[in-house]
Amino acid sequence: MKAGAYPNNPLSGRPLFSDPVFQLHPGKGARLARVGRQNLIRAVPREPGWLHPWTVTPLFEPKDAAALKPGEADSEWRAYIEPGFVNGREAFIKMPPAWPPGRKQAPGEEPRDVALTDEQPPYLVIDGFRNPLSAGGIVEKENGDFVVAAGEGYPKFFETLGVKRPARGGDLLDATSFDSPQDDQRTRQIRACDIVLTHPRMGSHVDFQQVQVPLTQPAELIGSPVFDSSFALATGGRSRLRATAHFQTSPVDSLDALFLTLTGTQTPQFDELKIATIWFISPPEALDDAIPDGTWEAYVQHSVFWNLNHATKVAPPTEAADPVHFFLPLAGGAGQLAIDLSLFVVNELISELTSLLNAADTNGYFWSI
Amino acid sequence: MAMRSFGGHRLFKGNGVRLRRFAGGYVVNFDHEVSGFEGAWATDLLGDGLARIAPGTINRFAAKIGKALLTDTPPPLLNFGKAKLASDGRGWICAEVTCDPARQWQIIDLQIVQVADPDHDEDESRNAATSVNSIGGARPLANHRARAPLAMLRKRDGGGIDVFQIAYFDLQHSVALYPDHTPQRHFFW
Repeated sequence: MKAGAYPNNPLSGRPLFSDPVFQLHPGKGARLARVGRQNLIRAVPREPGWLHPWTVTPLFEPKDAAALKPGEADSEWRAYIEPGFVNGREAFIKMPPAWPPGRKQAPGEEPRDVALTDEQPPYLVIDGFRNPLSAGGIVEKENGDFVVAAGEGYPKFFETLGVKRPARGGDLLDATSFDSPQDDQRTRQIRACDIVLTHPRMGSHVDFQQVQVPLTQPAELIGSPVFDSSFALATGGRSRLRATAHFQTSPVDSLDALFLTLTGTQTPQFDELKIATIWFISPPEALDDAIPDGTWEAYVQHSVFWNLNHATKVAPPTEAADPVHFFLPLAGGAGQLAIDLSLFVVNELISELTSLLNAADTNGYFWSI
Repeated sequence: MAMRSFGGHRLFKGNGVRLRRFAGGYVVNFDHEVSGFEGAWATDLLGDGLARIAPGTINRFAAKIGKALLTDTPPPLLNFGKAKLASDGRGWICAEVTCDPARQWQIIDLQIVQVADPDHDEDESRNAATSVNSIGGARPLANHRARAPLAMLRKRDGGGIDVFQIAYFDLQHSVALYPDHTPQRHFFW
């Protein structure tokens, strides 16, 4: 049967979903949400009951007809998010100036932040998907060989729904390394996207200045931490939500983060946290390059269930700290050998540098309350 | 599970589901009661500037409204009168801790209050640097106090006020100090 085709009632010959014998009607406590044309009828309580903060509800909805451009799809996937709070303040979603439909926008008006607690709640448009079945690219092994990385994969739950296997990866010269293994029982496609929370905070970097000294004396490097809250002030400290095909970040304590601070590059003035992943499952026998539409079904995998607090690792001192002085070895002068061999000197330098970096480390952490 | 079969499709009844057949098809009924969740600090607005807050603790210190514990029978109500709201129509119900610096900043009082800004007192002047908390935690207030937001109030265009729950569980509290032992930030978790 072609994907997306209506099955027929063999008794009447009519498509099942238009056959009155097959009609499903919502009764007490039920609301039928028909998604797609397969067996995707969901009955949910009329009153949804309590939903935890950050609950994501994906829906395939029609766009504003007046704003449609020629050739544009008339519907899109949207993610509605139950209000969630960071440090007691709700998160926002950036919405276009023409939203909600019928709103008069001022000339040149920019997209604006809309709170999750607004009476007409905003939503995220999901227009970027990643394919967990695809091979993960070409990577180099420790021995220098190049291999094809396996597909990202997906939660085991989706195997029971008949989702195709991810690319197995392997030898670069083997064409099958890029393909999903064939399985007639598993013909459904899967796509994913991530919902990410961005929270602004103070940023920092270390300012190094080299003092010019005569050649006969040690060169001196002066380092002092510099703190910057310009982004937090510009955004009013608002947390924002966004949808992205694949969310990736370096851990707060990673070498990358410390390197940014050390080299004087401004650390980013925000922290990010993945709220949820939305998995989209196609009807059977969907094409490999299919894009999720109304015939697909969405499943949400939440990563966060409660409201959050956030804080930076350090706070700027009330008074400017004394800058740290680093004395570099004499330029070809006497005592160079002794200095090089002095482990005490090296350890001192490392200790001072570590303290300086830690004093300027404004990377932040989230925790739930 | 009972099953209906028609036209090659099958319907399976789960727990609490009833299927009733009629000429036009099937009616799906749910028997489940809608269940909610009420944890600590659950806030209900009762109108006329009154709110009921479910009992909660911070560092196992029980919260009060005035001198009455939230666990008293009958429980006290927070009478905030005309809601204190910021210019954007938002206000908060907070748990306000008062600490004693001489006793390792232990909590000596815990009051439920309604405020326009958890990080500033009403009479406190603000500038661009203090209007946004860019380092997180709770900002220290005068007299060794700090506030943990429990619920947010949002005034609607029609004049009504909606409440959004923020905290659901008992909390822990700690204070970070500057080298001169003045409070830097309060943490609630």
